[in-house]
Amino acid sequence: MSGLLNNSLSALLTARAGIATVSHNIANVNTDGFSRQRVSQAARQPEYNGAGYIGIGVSVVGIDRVYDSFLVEQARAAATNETYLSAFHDLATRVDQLFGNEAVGLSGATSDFFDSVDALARDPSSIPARQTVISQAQVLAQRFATLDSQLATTEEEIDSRLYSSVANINSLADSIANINDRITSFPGTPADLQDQRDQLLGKLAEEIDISVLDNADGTVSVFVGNGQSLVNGPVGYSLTTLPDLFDPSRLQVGYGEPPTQIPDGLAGGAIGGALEFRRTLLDPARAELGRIATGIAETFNATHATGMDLSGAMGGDFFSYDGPEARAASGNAGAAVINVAIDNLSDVEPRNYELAYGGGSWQLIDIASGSAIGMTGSGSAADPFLAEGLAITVSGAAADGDRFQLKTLSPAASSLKVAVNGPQGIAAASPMVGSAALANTGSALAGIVAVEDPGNPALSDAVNIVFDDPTTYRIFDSGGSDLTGPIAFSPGDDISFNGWRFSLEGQPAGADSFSVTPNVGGTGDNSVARRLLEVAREGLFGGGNTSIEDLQSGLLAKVGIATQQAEASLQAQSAVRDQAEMSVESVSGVNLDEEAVNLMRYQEAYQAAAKAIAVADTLFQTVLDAVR
Amino acid sequence: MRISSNTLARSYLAVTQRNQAELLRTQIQLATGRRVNRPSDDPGAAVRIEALTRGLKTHEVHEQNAEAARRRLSIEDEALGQVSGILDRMRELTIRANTAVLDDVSRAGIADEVRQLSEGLVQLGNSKDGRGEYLFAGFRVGQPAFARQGDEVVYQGDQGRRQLQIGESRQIADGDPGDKIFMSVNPGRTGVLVTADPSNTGTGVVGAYALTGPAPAGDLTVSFTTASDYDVIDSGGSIVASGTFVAGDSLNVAGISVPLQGSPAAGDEFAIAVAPRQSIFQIAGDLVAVLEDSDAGPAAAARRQNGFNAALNALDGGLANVSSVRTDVGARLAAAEDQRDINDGFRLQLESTLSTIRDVDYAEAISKLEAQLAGLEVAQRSYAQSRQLSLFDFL
Repeated sequence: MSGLLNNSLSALLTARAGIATVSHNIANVNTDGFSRQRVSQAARQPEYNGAGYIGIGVSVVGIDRVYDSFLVEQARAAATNETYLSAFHDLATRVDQLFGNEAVGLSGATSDFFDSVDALARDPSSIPARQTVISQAQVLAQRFATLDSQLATTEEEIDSRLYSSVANINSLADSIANINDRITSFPGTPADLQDQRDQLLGKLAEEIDISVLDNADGTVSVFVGNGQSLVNGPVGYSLTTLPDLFDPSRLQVGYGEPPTQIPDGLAGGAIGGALEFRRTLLDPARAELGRIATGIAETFNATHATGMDLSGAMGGDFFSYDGPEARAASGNAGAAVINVAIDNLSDVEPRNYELAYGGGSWQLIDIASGSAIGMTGSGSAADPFLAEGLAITVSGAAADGDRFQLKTLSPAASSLKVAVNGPQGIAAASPMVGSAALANTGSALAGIVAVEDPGNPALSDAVNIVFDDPTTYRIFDSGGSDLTGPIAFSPGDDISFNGWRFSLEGQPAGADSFSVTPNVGGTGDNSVARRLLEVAREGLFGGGNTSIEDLQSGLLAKVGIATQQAEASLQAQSAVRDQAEMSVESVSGVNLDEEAVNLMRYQEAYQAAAKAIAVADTLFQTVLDAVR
Repeated sequence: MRISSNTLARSYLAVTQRNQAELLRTQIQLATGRRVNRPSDDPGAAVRIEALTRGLKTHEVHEQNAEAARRRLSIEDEALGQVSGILDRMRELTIRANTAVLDDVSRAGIADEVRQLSEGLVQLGNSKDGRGEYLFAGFRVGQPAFARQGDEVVYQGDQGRRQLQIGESRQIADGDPGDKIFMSVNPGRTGVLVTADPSNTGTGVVGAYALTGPAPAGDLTVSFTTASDYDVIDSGGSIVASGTFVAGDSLNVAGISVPLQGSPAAGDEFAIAVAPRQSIFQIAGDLVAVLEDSDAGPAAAARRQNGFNAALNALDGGLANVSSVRTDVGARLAAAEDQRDINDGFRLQLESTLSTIRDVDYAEAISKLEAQLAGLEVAQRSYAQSRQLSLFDFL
C-alpha cells in the first residue's frame, strides 16, 4: 500500500518537474541564447522481496540543457567571420559611395580642370578663360582635400569603432569571468548560467576572433590575438586602445600593463574588419589619392615652369603640395633623422613604408603587405637609399630597434593648393618664338619653340639659324658669331639649343634663315597650355604606361572591386552564419508543439499518478471497511 | 531536421531581408534610371563609364575648338577675300591708268583712289576676330598687326601660328601670320624681278620677261654703256658679261629673256633681282608714286610705262600670294567642318555605348521588381499562415 502511494507520489513529483521544465521552456521560447531543457528521469532502484524486484517508482536524475558544443563553436566562428566582413563592407561602402558620387568624385573635377586648360589653349589671352583655369584648379585641389578628409573621417570612425569595441570586449570579459565565478560557487552546473555565458561568448566573438578553452571546474578561459588571455576562470583581463606608434592621431589595440600594441594578431570580428579595412583599403586609397595629386602637381609644375605668363615672366609652380614625410616611432632611442624625397615619380608606388634599424642595417618594409623591399645606396646624402622611386637619407645615429614610418604620397592630397599668382600668372605661352625670314626659298615654316630647360642661363638669347644647305645649319648669335659650327639636319628634325627645342614645319632650302627670339607681346601663344594638357594625359606612372586618368580609374576599380567582393563574401558568410545558428537552434531551440506534446505527456502522467493515489485510497478504505 | 519555433521566424526574417535589399537595389536603379549607381555595382562598368564620360567631355572641348577655329578662319577667309578684291581693283585701275590718253589730273584721281585702297588694306591687315584679337598678328594678338611709320607700313606681329586640337589626333592652325600674306609678295614674274631704273633717260620699256634657263644665283644689273652695248654687273660690282642690244629684240641675260621696247640710252640701267620680296603696301605706294609722276616727255612716259608694268606684275604676285593662303584657309575650314561631322558621329557612338553600360533596361528592371515584390508577398503569406498552426490551439 505504501509502495503504491510512494510510487504514485514519485510519479507526481517527477511529472511536476517535467511540467515545470516544459513551462520554463515555453516561458523562454523567445529568450536569446536559451537552450531547451529536458528532465532526465529514471526508475528507482527496485526492492527485492524474494520473488523478484518490485519497482519503487521514478525519480528525476537531472535537468539538462540540450546542447551541442561543436555546433555552438561553429556558430561562434561563423559570427566572427560575418561581423568581420560586415565591418569591412560597412566601411568599404562608405568609400564606395564617396567615389561613386559624381558631385565629390575626382574624375569630374579632373576632366573639368583639363577642359578649362583646353579652353585656355583656344583663347590664351582671355582673362576670363584664365580665371576659369584657376577656379577649376581650386575646385580640383578642394576635391582632393574633401576626398582625403572624408577618408580621414572614415579613419576617425575606425578609431571610435575600435574604442567602443574594446570597451565592449572588456565588459563582456568581465561578465564572463563573473559567471565563471558564480558557476564554481553552485553545486552542479546551472544550465541557465551556461546559456548566459555562451551568449556572452557569442557577443565577444562578434567583436574579435576568440579561442575558448573549457576548464575542468566548469569555467572557461578565453584567449585573443596571439594568445593574450582575456578571461581566465574568475579573472577578466582587458584590452586597451593606444595611439599608433608612428601616428598619434590613429588608434591601435593594446594589451598588458603598461599596454603595448598587439602586433598584427587581431583578426576577425568587428575589430579585425576595421583594422583590415584600414590596412588594405583605406591606407592604400589615401596613398593612391596622394599619388594622383602629386602626379597632377608635378606634371603641371614641370611644364608650367617652361612657359611665360601674361606679364612676360617665366611660369613658376602651378600647384604647391606637401612632399613625403618620415615619422619616427614614439619609442625610438636613437637620434637618427630620416629624410625622404621623391626621386623618380614614375616609379613611386602608392604605399606607406616602415624603415627599421636593427643589427647595423636598415630595412624597408611595405606596411600593407608586410614584405621587405630591397634598397640600393648607403643612405648618405651623396648616396641615398633608393627604392621604388624614393630617395631616403639618414642623418644621425640610430639605435637598434628604431623604426620610422614613411608616408610617401598621402600628405599631397590634403595639402594640394593652387600656387599660381592670379589669372595673369598662368604661363600659356612659350618664352621664345621662332620666325622664318621672308626671303626664304624653302617651304619650312617656323613651328613651336618648346623650352626644355627653363634654368638654362642663355635661354632668352636671340639667335639666328642659317642653313648652309638643306641638310646643314649653323647657329649664330645676334652679333653674327657662329656659335655651333655646321650641324647636320634632316627633314623632321627639331633644332635644340640653349635649353629650347625649335620645330620646323616643312623643308628648308640652302641660305634659308630662321630666328629664335624672346617672345614679346605674344599673348596669343597657346603652345605651353597645349603642352600642359599633353603631359597631363601622357603615361606618367608605371614606367610610362599609366596616365593620371588611368590611376583614377584604377582607384575607382580598386574601391569598387573591394566593396563588391566584401559584399559577395558577406552575403555568403551571412548564409553560413544563419545556417550555423539554425543548426544550434535546431538542437537547442524550443519547439512549442513539442512542448505542448510534452506538457500533455506530463499532464497525463500526473493525472494517472493522481488516479493511482485515489486507487490506493480506495484500497485503504476497503481494508478499513473490512476490519470495521 | 528538428525545427524550433524560432527557426521559422528567423529564416523568414533572413530571407525577407535579403529580398528587401535586392528590392531596394532595383528601386534605386529605377529611380535613377541607372544600372550602375556605385562603383561596386559593377566595377568594370564603373571604370568604363568614367572613361566614356571623360571622353564625351573631351569631345565637347574638341568640338568647341573646331567651332572656334571655324569662326576665326571664316573671318580670315572673309578678310582675305576683301584683300583680293582690293588688289583686283588696284589692278583694274592700273590698267585704266596705263593708257596714253589719260592726263595727269585723271591719274592723280586714280592715285587718290589707290591711296584709299591701300589704307583699306592696312585696315584689313588689322582685322580682329570675334574676340577682339588681331587676326594677322601671329601670337601678338594684343596689338595691331600693321602700323604706319612715315611712308612705310611695318609688321608688328610675329610668325606664331596657334594650333587648336579639334579631334583626338587632329589639330589645325586657327590663323596665319600677316607678314606671310602682306609683307612677302613676290613682285616679279617667275621668281625674278626686272626693273628699269627710274632715272633712265632712254625709252626702254621692260616687257613680259621670262626665264629661259636656270635663274641667276644673285642679283644683277644690266648697264648700257652706249645706246646698244651693255655690261652685266653682279652685286660685287664686277662685270660678268657684256652684250649688244638690237632694237626691237629681247635682252637675253643670264637665262632671262627680257623684251625691251623703245631704245635705251647710254647710262640706263635695268636691275635683275632674284627672289625679291615686297609688301603689298609698298606695291601700292610705288603705284601711287607712278600715278603722281606728272613729268612730260618720252623718258617720263617710258618710266610710267615701266612703273605700270611692274605694278601689274606685283599685283599679280600679291593676288597669287593671297589666293594661296586662302586656299590653305579653305582647306582648314573644310577640315574643321569635316571634323565636326566625325565628332558628331563619334559622340553619338560614345553616348550610345555609355547608355548601354550605364542606363537601366526598364523592361528588365520592372519585371525584376514585380518578381521581387511577388516573392516577398508569397513569403509573407506563407509565414503568416504557418504561424497560425499551433497545437496549443487544441488544448
